[in-house]
Amino acid sequence: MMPIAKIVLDVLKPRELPLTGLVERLCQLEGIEAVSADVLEVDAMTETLKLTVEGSAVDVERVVKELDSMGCALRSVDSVTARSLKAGKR
Amino acid sequence: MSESEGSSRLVRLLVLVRHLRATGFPSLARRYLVLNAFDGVMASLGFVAGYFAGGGASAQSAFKGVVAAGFAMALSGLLSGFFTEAAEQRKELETLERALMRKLDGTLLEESRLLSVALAALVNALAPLAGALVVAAPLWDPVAGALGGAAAWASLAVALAALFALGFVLGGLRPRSLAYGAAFLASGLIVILVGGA
Repeated sequence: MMPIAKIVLDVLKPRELPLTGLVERLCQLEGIEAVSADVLEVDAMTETLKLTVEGSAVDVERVVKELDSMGCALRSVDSVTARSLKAGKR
Repeated sequence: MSESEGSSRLVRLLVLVRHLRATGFPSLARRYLVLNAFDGVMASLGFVAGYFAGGGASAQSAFKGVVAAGFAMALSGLLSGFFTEAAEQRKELETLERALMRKLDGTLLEESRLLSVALAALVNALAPLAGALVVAAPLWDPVAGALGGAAAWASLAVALAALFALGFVLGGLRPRSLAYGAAFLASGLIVILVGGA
């Protein structure tokens, strides 16, 4: 399986959940090197985020599970970048 | 537990604590603490004033009465705090579920609310008990023995001092704190006057 290098997610986050905490928590996951979150829209109780997760091998399922456990709702996967294993061997 | 798992759990705990702060739990706990400690001190103060004014002479009996009342208030606070907070937090969670269009069972948001319910119930229970125990302390056998006939007066004085301190803390330790402390102290004096009449 190709390792995922970057994934961009559209996420609905409860406003009461601190954004820094969410990003820090995702950064703790194995294979992740950088996480950035941009707030696109603010509602009374929720915020829409563009969440960019980058790393040597991003475990997408683990990221989605983590978002779920924090009470976020994943709306869509907007972009995925995979790294070819062959490219590393050359 | 591996190092990364341990650190991951620590971050989750930190997020939980931050979430509790973001949802205003510290101010809720502070309100519960002061209000219920105030109740505990006032009820005990009324009991002590009424007991001795009514001809009671045994510090030990007064001590038992105040402690029993303190435990009753603690149990009442525990149950009322738990059910009130649980209902309130459930309602908030359901509103959030509608906004997010998903269930939040088993999430950090539910965990944080459960923790908030447990802590609020605990504060609701311990605050009046602490208030009652402060008033009861001078009536406790070893202390009352040393104080002799002054034990009842000492209990009333400690209660008034505790009321002033609670008002002072509620005022946020600012200039208005003295006014809050004085108001709480005055309410204690009223209880003594009414209870002792």
